[in-house]
This record gives sequence, C-alpha cells and structure tokens, in this order.
Amino acid sequence: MHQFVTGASWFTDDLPTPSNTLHVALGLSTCASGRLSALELSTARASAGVVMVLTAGDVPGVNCTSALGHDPVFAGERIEYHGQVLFAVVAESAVAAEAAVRLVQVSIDADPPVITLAQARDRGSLLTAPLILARGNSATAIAIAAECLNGQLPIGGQEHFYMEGQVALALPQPDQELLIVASTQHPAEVQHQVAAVLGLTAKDVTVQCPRLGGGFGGKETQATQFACIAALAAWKTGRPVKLRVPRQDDFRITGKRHDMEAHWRVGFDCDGRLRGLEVALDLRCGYSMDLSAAVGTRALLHLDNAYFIPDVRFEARLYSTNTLSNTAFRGFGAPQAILVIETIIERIARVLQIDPVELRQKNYYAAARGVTTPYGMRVDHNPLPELTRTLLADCDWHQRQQTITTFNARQPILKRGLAFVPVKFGLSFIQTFLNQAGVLLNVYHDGSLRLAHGGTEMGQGLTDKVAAVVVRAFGIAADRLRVVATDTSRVPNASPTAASVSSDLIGQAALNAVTIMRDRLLDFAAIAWSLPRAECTIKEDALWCGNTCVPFDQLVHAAWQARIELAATGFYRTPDIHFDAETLQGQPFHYFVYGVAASEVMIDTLTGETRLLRVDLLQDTGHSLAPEVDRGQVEGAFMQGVGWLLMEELVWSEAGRLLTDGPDTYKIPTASDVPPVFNVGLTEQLPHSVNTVFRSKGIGEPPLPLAVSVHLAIQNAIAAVQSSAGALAAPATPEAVLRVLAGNPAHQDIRRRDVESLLGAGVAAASPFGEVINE
Amino acid sequence: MTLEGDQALRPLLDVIRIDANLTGTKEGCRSGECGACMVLVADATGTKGVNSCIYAAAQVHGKRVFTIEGLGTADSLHPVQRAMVESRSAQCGFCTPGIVMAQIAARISAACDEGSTEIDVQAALAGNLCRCTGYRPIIDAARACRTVPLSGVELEKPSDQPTNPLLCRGQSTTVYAPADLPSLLELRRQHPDAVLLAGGTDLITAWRRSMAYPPQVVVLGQVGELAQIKWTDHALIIGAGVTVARAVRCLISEWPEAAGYLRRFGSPAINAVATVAGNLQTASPVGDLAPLLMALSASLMVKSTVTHRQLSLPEYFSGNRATVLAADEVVIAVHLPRRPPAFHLFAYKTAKRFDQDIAAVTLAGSFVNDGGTLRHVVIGAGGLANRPARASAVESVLENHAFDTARIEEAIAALAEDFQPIDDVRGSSTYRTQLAGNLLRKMRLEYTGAGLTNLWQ
Repeated sequence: MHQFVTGASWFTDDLPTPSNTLHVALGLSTCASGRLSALELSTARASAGVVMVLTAGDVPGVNCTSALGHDPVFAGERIEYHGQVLFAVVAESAVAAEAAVRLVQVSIDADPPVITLAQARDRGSLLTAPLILARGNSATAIAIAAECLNGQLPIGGQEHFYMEGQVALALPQPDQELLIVASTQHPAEVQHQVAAVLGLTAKDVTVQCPRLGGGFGGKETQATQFACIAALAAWKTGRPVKLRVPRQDDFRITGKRHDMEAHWRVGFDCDGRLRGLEVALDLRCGYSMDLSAAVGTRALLHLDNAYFIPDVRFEARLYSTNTLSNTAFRGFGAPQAILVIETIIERIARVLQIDPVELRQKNYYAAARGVTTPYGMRVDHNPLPELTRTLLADCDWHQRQQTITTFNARQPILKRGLAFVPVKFGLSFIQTFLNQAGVLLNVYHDGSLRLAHGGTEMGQGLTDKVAAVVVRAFGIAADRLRVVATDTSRVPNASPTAASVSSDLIGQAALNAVTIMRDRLLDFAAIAWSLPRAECTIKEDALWCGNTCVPFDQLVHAAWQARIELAATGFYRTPDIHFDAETLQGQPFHYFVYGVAASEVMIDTLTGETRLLRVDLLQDTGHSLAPEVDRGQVEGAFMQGVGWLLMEELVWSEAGRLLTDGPDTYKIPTASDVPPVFNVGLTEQLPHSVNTVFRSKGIGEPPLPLAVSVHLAIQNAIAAVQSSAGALAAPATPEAVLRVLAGNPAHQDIRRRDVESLLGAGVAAASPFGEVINE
Repeated sequence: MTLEGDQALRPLLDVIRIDANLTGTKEGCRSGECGACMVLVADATGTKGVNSCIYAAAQVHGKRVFTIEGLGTADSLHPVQRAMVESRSAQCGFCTPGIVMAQIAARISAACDEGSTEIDVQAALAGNLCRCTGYRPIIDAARACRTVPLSGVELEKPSDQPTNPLLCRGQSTTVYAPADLPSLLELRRQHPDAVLLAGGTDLITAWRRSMAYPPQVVVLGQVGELAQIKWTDHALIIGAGVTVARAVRCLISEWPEAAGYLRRFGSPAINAVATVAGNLQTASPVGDLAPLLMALSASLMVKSTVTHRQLSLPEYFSGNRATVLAADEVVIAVHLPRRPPAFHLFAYKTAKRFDQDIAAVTLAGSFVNDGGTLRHVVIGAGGLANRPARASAVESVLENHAFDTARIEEAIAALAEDFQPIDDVRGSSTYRTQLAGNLLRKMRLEYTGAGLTNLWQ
C-alpha cells in the first residue's frame, strides 16, 4: 500500500528503459468494412524520427494474436471494423510516431457494414451455430401454465476502463531471445502468440508482468495484440520498443462487455411458481470469436440464477458484426443473464401483484422443489433462503417498503423504488482444461523464500492471498516470504488470471508446494536431530518437537548444508469438474458463490435521472483469506455493475465508429455515485462442502451482478407511476428512464390475455420464437 | 528546468514523466477526466491541484510543481498518504497518486475541512476516477483527511515572479506571457492569429491530440487586470481570467439558488484553472456557464487597442463553436447586473452522470415576480441548438403573465419555435425536446412549491 501512495510502484510504463528505446503509434481503420486497396507509407517513413512502418506483410510468422481464431495483428486485405489496426509506426519518440501516423494515406473500398444486432439478424451473420441449453419441454410447459408473459430486453455493453491503458515493452536479448514486459492478464498466451507471430517457439520468448493498473477481463485476450506489435518492432529493429496505447485508440481497438438482446417467454402458476422459461440471448460479438462462445455459454449457465425452473430452453446466438471484438469482462455473460431472469421475476410479481421477494423465495432451488440446474449440476446446501431472511431483517425491508409507498403516494415528481436480488455464481473456468495452476517455491539458505506463480496482480489482492496461504501453511513469519511478479520462465503454461479462480488455483498449488517443502524439511530434521518425525512441526517461525525449538533460518541452513533440495514446484487441478461444450451438460463449476442485495433508488420523473440512496448486501466469501481484500472486491464489483447498468453507454455511429471513445463521453461512476448508505456484509461461515484452499471462495466476479438490484429498483420506481410500463433498457440512462415513463419503452411486455385479444382482433401476434402463442 | 520553443506547450505530464523521469504521476486518459496525473502547482496566490495532462509546461513558468515523489516517503508518509493507507484506498494503485494530490489540494483550498459535509468530501473527489475500489475507502480517507494537518512542504511558494513578456520562441511557435492588459492588447493587435491560452483545459489536449500547434500562443495567466473581481452597487464584474472556482463562489453568494447547478460544473482541478471567459470562448453548444449567465443577463466586456464594446451573450455566440470576437479583440470581463428585488432563478443540468459530465440539456430561467405576474423573463438553454441560446418564443409566452399550468404548457409548445435539437451521444432529439419541456414544468413546480423536485438534496 505504501508504494502506491508514494508513487513508487512500477507499472509497465514506469520501468526504466534503455536510452535507445523506440516508441510505437498505431494506424487505425476509419472504415468499418471493406477491402484495403492501398497503404501509402513513404511519407510516413521519411518523417522525422521514424525508423520503420510495419504492416501485415512484415509479420514473419502467423498474422494472428489469438489462439481462438481470427484476430490479425494488422488487418490484411479485409477491413473488419472501424478502429482495426492497419499499421504501426516505429519512431524515436511517441510524438514522432503519432505525427507520422497522420501522414499515411489509406485507401479502402468500403462496403456496407453490419453494425447493430438488428442488421446482423437480418443478414444472418452468425459466428457459429446457436448454443442451446434445454431441459424438458418448455413450449408445452409454457402453453399449459396458467399465466404467460413474454418480452424483450436490450442490454448494453461496457468498456473496461482499466485506469492503466494497454502497454507493452519488448526488449531484445542476446542469442535471439526476446523479453516482453506487458500489462496482461495472460502472460502465457502473450508468450505463445508472440512466438507464433515471430515464427519462434515459446522457449524463445519470456513474458513478465510487474502488475496491472486494472484488468477486469480487458487484458485477458486483448493485451496480446499490443505485445505482439511491440515484439515485432523490437525483432525487426533490434532495439527496445514500447507501445503505450493512447486512451482513445484503446477505446476504439479493444473489445468490451458483450451487449445483448434478450427475447423471453415464461409460463407460471397463479401463485408465481415458474413452470417454463425460454430465453434467446443475442450477443453482439464483433468481428471475431475471441471469447464469445465461452461468454455465451456462461450466460446460459446463469439464466436460472437462483431458481429451479422445470422446463427451459435457453439459446445464445453469437452474431458477427463489423465492430470491435467483444471479450471477457468481470462476470463474463453472467451479469447480463441475471439481469434478464431477475427482470422477468419482477415482471411476474407485478402481473400477479405478489411481493417479488416472496416470489423469489418460492422458486429458489430447494429439496422440495428441485435442486438440479438445467445443465445437470446439483445445488446443494443452498444458503439463499437464509441469506435472504437475514438481509431483509437487517435492512428493514418491510418498513422501508411502506415508507416508500407513502412517499410515492405523496410526491408527484420524485419516486422511490426498492428491489432485492439474489445471486448464485458458478466458480471455475467452464473450459475445464484451464482449471490448473503451478507454482515454484524457492527457499534460500538464509531462510527467506520466493514464491513464483503464473497469476497476475491487478489490484485484486492475489499476491496478498497467496502469501497468506504460504505463511499460514508453512508456519513461518510473513516477512520471510516474497511472492514475485509473473515471469513465464519460472512457471510455464499458466491459465489467464480470470474467472475469479486464481486464488483458488494458485493458492492450492502453493499449498501443495509448501506441503512438499515442509515435509522435506521435517524429514530432514527428524533424521538430523534424531527427533520423532510424527511430533515434529513447523509453527511460529521455527521447527518444534516437544521442547526442542530450531529457528526456521537455522533449520533451512542446516538442510542446505545437508544437501536437501530447497526448491519445490506445486501443482493443482480442480477436481470433479467436467463439462460438455456441445450439450452444455455436466459439472462445470467447482462450487457456487452466493450473495444477496437490496437497493433503493429515487428517480426524477421529469428528467429521468436516478440517485442511488441505499444499498445493503451480504456476500458469501467462504472463510475469507483476507476479509479486507474481499470487502474491496465486493464494493468495487458492485459499483462497476452500477456503472454498467446506470450510466456507461456505448454509442456507435451508423458507419460503425465508436462515438463514445473516451472518458469525456463515456462515463464511469465517480465518488458522488456511491450510495450514502452502503452496508456490506461478508458471511464467512456458510456450509461449504467443497475442498478449497482454507475453505475460501473466489470473489472477483460474484458480487457484480448484485448491482442488478439497482436496475430493478429503478423499474419499481417507474412502476409507481406506470404499473404497466414496458422494458427499461440497460443502461438506465436518464433518456432510457424518460422513454419508459413517456410510454415509449425499449419493448412492451405482452401477457397472454393481451395476445389473445390481439388474435381475436385478427392481428397476427408472433412470439419472438417464431410461433404464434396459442393454447 | 528550461524548455525551448514548442516544448513549452507540451503537456506538463510529459515533462514530468519523460523529461524529469518522475513516474509516480500516472497517465490515465490524457483528457483531464481521470485525475491520475494530478500534481500540485504553487505560485504567489497559493497552491492548487491541476491535471498535468491538460496543463501546458508554459503555464508553470516561474511556479513550483509538486509531484507525488516530493510529498512523503514510505518511511515518512504525508498525513494524507497515511490516511489512504489506513483506509486501504488502493487496489491496483494506478489512480492512487492522483487521489493523494486531490485530497491535499482539497485541504489547501479548504474545500475539505472539519466543517465539510459528505457532499463536500465527494465533490473534492469529483475529478478522480477509480475503477477498482468503488470509492468507499477513498471517501473514508477523505473524511479522515478533513482534520489532518498538512505537512507544510506543499505550501512552499516560489520566491520570485517572472516579468519578462516573451516566454520562449521556437521554430514554429512563439509563446508570449504578457504581464498586463496593454501588453496583451498590443500582442493581440500584432498577432491576430495568436491563440490565447487561459486555463488550457480544452486547448492542451486538442493540441497534443492533433499534433498541431498555432504560430503564436499568448499565455494569459500573468495579466493581473483579468484576474480581478469587482462588486459595485449595480453589478458584479468578473475578470475574464478569473478561475471558475473563484467565480462560482461569487455567483453563489449573490444567487445561492445556482449552487446545485454550479456544483456540477467541473472537478476541483478543472475549476482551479479553467476561466469564465475561456469557458464562454469555446462556445460549446452545451457550455454550462452560458445558459446560467444568460438567465442572469450577463454581458461581456470586450477590448482591443482601439475599441471597447459590451456584448450580450446571445450576441457573442455566432454559431457552432464560433463567436463574433474580432481578431484583435480580447474579452476582459463578464458584467452581471446585481440581483433585483423579487428575482427568481432556476437552473438545471441533466446528464448521464452527476459529476464531470457534459449535459444533454442545460436550462436556466429567471424572472421578476411582479405581484404574481412574470416580468423580465429570460430562459437560457444549452444542448438544444448549435450554440447556447435564449428561448425567446418561450420567454414571450411567459412574459407579463401569471405562472400557471396552462401558461407553462403553452410555453412548452413554444419550445419547438425556439429549438430543433439534434441526436448525438448525449441524447436524441426527442429526448432533448421532452427534457426541455419537463425542465420548464419543473421550474413552475419549484416556483409554486409542489412537493419535492430536487433529487440531489
């Protein structure tokens, strides 16, 4: 913490660089779709300070930055989005490089782009066959249910806005080796892709990551391209090269959270029990696949959220558009899915005039109702009923509901709304093979230790948590240990630091290494000092056996002199998980993380503006490895969710240019957006049958969807004016709120009896699923 | 440190990070929006926090700059740094140095002291983005900092003031820094193409982005006459070079009902350097000050070496980001008539975010209540036309009538005569039209006192 407040911490852009370091500026396409007919580079090449201009033709290996398919380092002939990187100027200074970019003449034969989801649907431009998760017969279940409702919901994307922009430094090394320092969540992928781009193999490239100034998923795959360009420039010039992407370019080049459109149809009983649910999620993926299939899958796996729904059909349609390639963002599709199901629940409660919390409680996974998810995994020991009761009591729910009703009856302009949301979040990479981690533990003969792992520190506290595991498991003093920044030459093939699982995976691997090393030292001590092995232990920074005590550094020094190996690798693979990516069935998650939140808002019905008044939340962290770190994760994730749902709006022009390409037009929350009352509770004592490191749980993503409660609270405040108001889009900007209040919502939900009256009037009422709703 | 020619117009941030190799100051956005690059700048008038990415090196001529490296060390933390550590205010840590600076600046300017409310504390952080923490620990630190003593180092002032009018001459750009108004007017006459640099919050980022610098730049910071505020029995006269921070305090003292509106103008680091005339000179279609100043019947005092004229604000704006200012003219002050009896003022800003956002629509209205009849009705609006403008059709519907429901609906209908707003990233035409009408409704509701109308109170 001290290094941050004094400015002494080193991010990639802060590292001292050799005096002959070159700088890169990127040339981006200003056309969303077309054929690149000419790049006139000679003027730029002759510009002061310019050393080289690189294009697709300069790539010696594979012109691709991703292992997932088609993501060119530089566009080839085909231009696929506005903002796509066409070329890179390498110059003596960043200013010289940027100036030369403006001198390049780009000729593109443009063709009509596919920008919106509507255009993509019209063109049928799917990246792959739809993903389908189904159980039972949803169409019949909905048809025979007493009540039926259908609707649509447009959900916006989100720019990561990591405070530290994308940056990479490439340093040529002796003997045709290359060292890359990059702000990336996935150093191993950078290593492999840099090697592929340069026609090398992984052994030739080392990637280090000192720390990231925020990632949030935006540097999982999207950082690789910049490292590849810096590497290529360094390889070609033989000089160190830095690429620090200006914020506006970063906005225009890199992928964001997927915007989606949900089309849904639900059947339910008169008492609110869910019978059947069909949801089609249309994802705007952008020009390439990137992580979209995994995002779509995770979204489908969270459409049930906390509820047992007997018959379901969930479908994700991955649309290709001429826009940046949407990617990982904290929650990875789950927040969108949870917004959809929770909006549906609120709609049902309004139609049936039942308390929405009661409705939720009726439908929770429970032994009496059903405990198996649509993907076949069991929800055992569901703590949500208990968490719900606790939170409602703690936040004075019922009293506040009455106060709000009275307030809304009296006040003509300002209206309040209150809403509750539960979250069940699945932990593990759904690509099972990624659930592995390794560490390297070195013990030095002065008694100090270094632990290297493949994860990256980006503010989430991974370093602190791994250190806590090692210190506790080893029984040594904390100041003996240094957990070091990532270096691919120390730990190979690491998975990305993502999916909230890093402290689980790396913590377990560290535990494994500690166990190996500790056993080795204890075995040695038993023999060296003729002690009963079973009674030997290391605790309080020393070897203990009865009254015998050997300080840890003496123990280590003696072991070294006795030629005991003082390095150990630890490895971990998450047990008991499996998942079929075709049928979407299996046990994709190691465990679930639960949370509940209640949010209260006030809206101005004349301007559509919202003020967040109070938030109460309760988050399951398991037995937290670092409660203060976890609290920071919970609060930060929640506010990031609030930004996504309230104010962060991405706007494209018809021609496909991202118009909100900087913090002047794209607004993330500030301190004033924090609710004046923000009660955050961590529950650490939940029954948690799964064996995780010291029974802790992953925490990075699970709290984010709790912010859905804020969106629902706005929906409820609107309902105080118009009980039949239509769908409120996300983000709920003042304009979106006013649109719904004015009776022009994003979509008007249709109840079965409304459909029947339409049919009776001779109007064909097609459901979004292409069939006429009929009993 | 001495800089030659064009180098003086580079962002101070580049001088700090690249030339001085002090990397504690971070680059987050290069547009003055995120605060990661905040430093303290001290001159004879005091110390303030500025965003170094939108502050030119030339603007610190003769001043002292404190970066994070100059405040405290790990062994001996500044009290504000200690408060930040104790509240665990850093996750990724990238925004942290800037937030330390913002909090120190708030203490120095007394924006945060023992009397500060929660709202003051949050206002002091309005220009600092953090993407990790959700701000709660940072707000806790800021609250704790209200009463911490300053260490003193940040209050040291430079000993001498520069007086030479020519600052530096480069290959393609010459930078002047006149010390008084006659020198400024003379420079303006000699160099009609010169660009005047006041706060620089728009210009520095635009220059760096386009890599194009004008042939002459005149830095206004040392022209004492422009920095004056005068109160007379009839008028408040705010010098063109008065910072928004100072101007806001004067405006609120005379028109306290504008406080909520002015609170949303800019972050403390913007308000500390941006000037009133600079804001008007951009002629932004939305510009927050213009609609309010229109409602206050403000006029601009404009001078050249030979002429002196006074322009009303609607006269001043000639089009989209254009004014009627002649090449040799300089705005020297804003003239505001003092508040008449029975004067009513309403001012509204609607944006996606509370702080530091450009509005979809701004609307300010004023009138004198003459026994239930509205007189001297002025409605100024931003975001509805290609420039800030008065809603004259609406004004004439309201003028000389009682402020009743029927009248307000007629006024809303008249909005269509005044404005045909456009679609852009901040809102659609439909929304803007609807919003403008609703704000007129809100004005009437607030006038008649029908229930709560202010979300932010």
